[in-house]
Amino acid sequence: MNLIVFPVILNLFSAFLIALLWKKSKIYSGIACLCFSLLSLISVILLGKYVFQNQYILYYVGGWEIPIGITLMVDALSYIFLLVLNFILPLICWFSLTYMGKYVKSSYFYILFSLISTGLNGILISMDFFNIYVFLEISSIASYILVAFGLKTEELEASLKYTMLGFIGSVLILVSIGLILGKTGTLNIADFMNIAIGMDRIQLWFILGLFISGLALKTALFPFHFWLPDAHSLAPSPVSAILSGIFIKITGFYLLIRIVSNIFIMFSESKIIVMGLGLSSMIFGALMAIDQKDIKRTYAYSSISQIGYCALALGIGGYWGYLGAILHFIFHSLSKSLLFLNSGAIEYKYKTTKIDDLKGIEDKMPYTTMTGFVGMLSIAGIPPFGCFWSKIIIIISAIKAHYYGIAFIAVVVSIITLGYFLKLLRNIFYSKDENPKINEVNFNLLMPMVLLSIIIFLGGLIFSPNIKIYIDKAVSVMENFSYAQIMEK
Amino acid sequence: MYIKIFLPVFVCYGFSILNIFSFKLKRDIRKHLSTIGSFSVLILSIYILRIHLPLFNQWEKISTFFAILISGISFLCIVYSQWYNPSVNFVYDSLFFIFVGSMIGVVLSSSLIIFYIFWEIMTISSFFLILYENTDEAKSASIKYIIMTGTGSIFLLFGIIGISFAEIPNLWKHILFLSIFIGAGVKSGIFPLNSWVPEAYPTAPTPISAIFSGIMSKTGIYAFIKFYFAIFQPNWSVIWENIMVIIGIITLLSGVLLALIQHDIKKLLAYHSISQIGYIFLGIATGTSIGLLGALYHLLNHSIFKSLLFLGSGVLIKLTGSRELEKYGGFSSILPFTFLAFSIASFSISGLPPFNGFVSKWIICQALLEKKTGISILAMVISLLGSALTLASFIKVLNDSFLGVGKGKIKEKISEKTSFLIIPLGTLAFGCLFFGMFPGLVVNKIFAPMTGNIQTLNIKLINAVSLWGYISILIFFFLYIYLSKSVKKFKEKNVFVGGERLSYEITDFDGSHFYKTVYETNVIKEFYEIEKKGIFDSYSISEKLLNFTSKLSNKIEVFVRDEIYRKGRDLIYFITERFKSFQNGLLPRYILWVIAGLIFIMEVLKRW
Repeated sequence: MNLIVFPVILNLFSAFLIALLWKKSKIYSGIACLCFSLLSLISVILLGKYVFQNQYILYYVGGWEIPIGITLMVDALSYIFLLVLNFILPLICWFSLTYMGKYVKSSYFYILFSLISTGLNGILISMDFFNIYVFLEISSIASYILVAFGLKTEELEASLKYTMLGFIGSVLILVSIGLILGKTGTLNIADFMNIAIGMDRIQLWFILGLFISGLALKTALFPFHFWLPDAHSLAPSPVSAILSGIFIKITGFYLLIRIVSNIFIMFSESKIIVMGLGLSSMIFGALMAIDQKDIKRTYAYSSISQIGYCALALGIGGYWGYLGAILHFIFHSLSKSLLFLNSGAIEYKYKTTKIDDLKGIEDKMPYTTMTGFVGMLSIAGIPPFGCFWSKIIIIISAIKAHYYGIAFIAVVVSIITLGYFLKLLRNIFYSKDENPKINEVNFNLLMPMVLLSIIIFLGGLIFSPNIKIYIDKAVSVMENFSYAQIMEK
Repeated sequence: MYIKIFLPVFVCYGFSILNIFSFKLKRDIRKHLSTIGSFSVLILSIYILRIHLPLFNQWEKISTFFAILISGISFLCIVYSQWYNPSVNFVYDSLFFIFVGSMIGVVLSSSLIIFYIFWEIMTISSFFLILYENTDEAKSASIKYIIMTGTGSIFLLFGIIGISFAEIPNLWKHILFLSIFIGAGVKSGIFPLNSWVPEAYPTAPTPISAIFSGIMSKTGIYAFIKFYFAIFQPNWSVIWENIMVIIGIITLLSGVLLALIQHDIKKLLAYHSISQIGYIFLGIATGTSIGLLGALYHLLNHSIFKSLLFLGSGVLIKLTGSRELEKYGGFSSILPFTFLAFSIASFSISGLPPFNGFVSKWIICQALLEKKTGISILAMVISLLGSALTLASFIKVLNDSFLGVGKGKIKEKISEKTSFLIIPLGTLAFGCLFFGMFPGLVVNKIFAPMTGNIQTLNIKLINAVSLWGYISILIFFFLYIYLSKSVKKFKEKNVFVGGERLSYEITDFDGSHFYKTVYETNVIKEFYEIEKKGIFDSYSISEKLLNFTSKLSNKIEVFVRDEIYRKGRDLIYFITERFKSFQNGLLPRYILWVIAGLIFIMEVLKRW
C-alpha cells in the first residue's frame, strides 16, 4: 500500500521545497506548508478505509522482506494518532500564517514545522526500532530549534535545558535500541518479538527500564518533566500548541503504549510503573499549575497533569483503561492545542502572557474568550465538552479495576484543574478593564480556534456507535495485538 | 382527533391576536368585537361538536360537554365584563381569549402532551389575568397562584410521562395517581392544596373570578375525571377511594366553615367554591356511574350558580366600590333584578328545591348511599350538614347586602337596564331554574350518554327527583299566589322602646356579627383557631419548610466555605510551595531528578 508513505514523504518534500524555493517569502512558504499538510491529511483520510478493512496494513520499502528491509505498518491505533496529528497540524499552520508574521524569518519556521510533521508521522508508521529513533530525532531536533525561535535570552535558556534533557532521553532510547540489536541481532519489531518470546526476562528488563525512562522523559512524566514548563511556555504559541498538543503524545505516549502493551508483553509490572508515573505527574502538574503567573506556563503544567491522566489510564489497562487513554489523548490534544493557540491570539494582541497584565479580554475579544472558555472547561472535565467523557471513562476504569483511591485522586485532581482554570477565567477573561484599544483577532487566527472548539464541544458525538467501532478497534489493538502475528503470516 | 375539533380554540386565539392589532380602535367598537368573538366561539363549539357527536365515545362526549360549558360561561362573562369594566385595554381582552381558548383546548385535546401544553398556556394566561389590576394584593396573590399551580403542573407532567409507559408496576401506579391527583387537585382547589383560591379569586377582576370559579377549577376536575375513569379504572384501589372521600369531606366542610366567618364577599364566594368542589369530589370518589352523573351535574350547576354569584357580587362592588359586606345593605330597592338573580343563585348553592343545586346534591347523596360503606354514609351526612351551613352563610349575605334598611354607601350610580348586564345574569338565573326543574330531561338528554351504562342508573331515582321538581313548581306557584295576596296586607308602625323612638341604625343588626355565635361554638372554634395558625395552608407550610432548608443549606455552605474549602486550599498551597522548590531552574538538579527516576524504574523492574 503506497499511500502509507505519503504523510512522511509529503512533509519531508515540503521542508526541502520551502528551503529551496520560498525561503525568502513569508506568504508562499506558509501557504506551501499549509497545502502540504492538507495533502498529508487527505492521504491519511484515504488510508483509513484500508486500515479498518484489514487489521493492519504493511508496506515493505523497496520490496525487501522483514528481517532485511525497512517495514512500515499502520494499524487502528496508529491510524487514530495519525488522524488526530494530521488534523491538528494544518490548523496550527493556518494559525501560524498570521501569527508567525511578526518574526523576521518565518519561512524557517515552516521548514522546521514540516520536519516536525515528518518526524511525528514517521514515528507513527514505522515498525522498526531504529526508524523510530531516527524520526524521533528529526522531530526532536526540529523542536529544540523551534523553542528558541524567538532568540530571546530566556527562550535560549529554555531551549538549552530542553535540548540537554531531550538528548538524555534520546540517549536512553538509543542505548536500549543498541542493546536490543546486541541481544537479538535485529531491529525490526516483529522480528524482535519472535526472538524475544524465547528469551529470559532477565535479559530484557534493563532494556525495558531504559525504554520506559527515555519515553517517560519524552512524555514528561513526573521526575522527568522538568524541561517541559520552560520549553512549552517560552516557545512561540503555535510551537507550544504542537509540542503540548501532539508532540509529547506521539514521541512519548504513543511509543509508551507500544512498548508497554504491545512489545514487552511479558513485563506486567511495567504497567504499574507507568501508572505510578502517571499518578504522580497528574498530581504534581495540577498542584504546580495553581500558582503560576503566566498563562502558557499554567497550560504547560496542565499538560503534565493531563498526560498523567493518559499514562494512568494506560497503566490501569483493561478495555476501559485503554479506551480512556485513547479518548483522553484525542480530546486533550484538541483542547490543549486550542488553549495554546488561544494564548497565542491573546499574546498577538497584548504582547504578553503574564496573568497580571491581562484583564477584561471578554469585552474586546469575545470569540477568543469563547474558544478559551470551551478549551478550559473541556480540560477541567465539564460535561458537554470532550475531556469530560475521557475523564469519566478513566475514573470508571479505575473503579472497575478496584483502584478506588486512584479514582478518588483523579476526581480531586479534576477539581483542582477546574480550580486553576476558573481562576484564569475570572482574572483574565471576565474582569473589568478600561483599555479600549484592543479588538478581536483576525480570521486566520480565529478560525482554527473556532473549528477546534466546535469539535471539542461536539465531543460527546464520538460515542455514537458508528464512530465508537473505530476506537474500539484501536482499543483491541492495545489489548491483544502482537507483532509476532505479522511474522506468522 | 380531527383538527376541525380545535376550530373554537383557533378562533379564540385569532380573536386574541385581533384584539392586539385593534388596540387603536375605540372601546365601543372593541366591546362588540369581543362579544361577537366569544359568541362565535360558543356557536362554533356547539356546531362543530354537534356534527361529530355521534362518532364520539363516552369520554369525548364529556369533553364536548365541557367545551360547550366553557364557551357558554365565558361568553356570558365577557358580555358582563363589557358592562362591569368598560375601560379595560386590549391586553385584558386578548388575555381573556387566550385563557378561554386554552381551556377549550385542554378539554378537547386527546393527546396528553397537547393537553399539557394547553394546560400550561391556561395557567400562564390566568396568572396575568389575576395580575391585571396590578395592586399589591394582586401581585402577592398571583405569585402564590403561579407557584402553587406551577408545582401542580410539574406533578401533572410527571404523571403524564409516567402513564405513557405501557406497563406500570403497582407501586408506580400509586405514585402516578398521587401526582395526577395533586396536579389536578391544585387547579380545582381540593383541601390541602387550595390556599391560593381565597386569595386569587377575590383579587382577579370580577368576570375573571367568575370564570376561575365557574370553569377554570372545572378543568382540574375534568383532568381528574379523565385520568381516574379512563386511565386508572375506578375501584382500582380501595385505599385511594377512601382517601378521596375523606379529602372530599374535609374540602367541603372546611370551605363552608371558613366561608361562614368571611366579611369579604368575594372571599366568601371563593370559600364556597372550595366547598362545592368538595361535593363534586365526593361524587367522583364513589367511582360509580351515578356518582359520576352527580359530579358532572353538580359541576354544571356549580359553574352556573357560582358564576352568577360572582357576577352579582360584581354589581355590588361596582355600586359601592368595596368588597366588605359591612358596607352593603338595603340594595334590593336599587338593584331589584340583581337581587332576584343573586337570591336564585344563593338558593341554588344551598340546595333548596326547585333550584338546580338541590337536584345534583340529591344525586350525589344517592350515590354515596348506594356505596354502602361507613365512610360514604358519613360523607353523605356531612354533605347535608354542609348544605345547611351554606344556606346559613348565604342568608347572611342576602341579609347584609340586599335586605335590611339602607345603610350602604353608594359610590357610583349604576343602571341595571342594560342588556350587557341582563343577558348574563338572566341567562344564568334561568339556567339555575331550568336545570333544577327538569332534571329527568337533563339527565336523559345530556348526561346519560356521558356516564356510560344507562342501565346502571337508578331510573326511579331520576323520576323521584323530577317529581320533586314538578312539586316544587307547584309549591312556588302557590307560594307566589299566597305572597302576592298577603304581602300587601301589612301595617307600618313606629318602633318604640321604653317610650323612646329608635333610630334605624340600631335596629338593623349586622349579619357578620350574628355569625360570631358560629365562631364561638365549641368544636368549630377549635377548627378556626387551628386554621388561623395556617396549618391547613400547604403554601405557607412549604414556605416555612423552604425557609428552614435555605437556612440549613446556608449553614452548611458557611461550614464548607470556612472549614473544608479554606483548609483544603491552604493545604494545597502548602504542598504547592514545597513542590515549587523542585522546579528551581538548575539544569544539574533536573538531570539528577532524571537519574533518580531512572534508578527507581530500574529498581522496580529488577526486584519484581
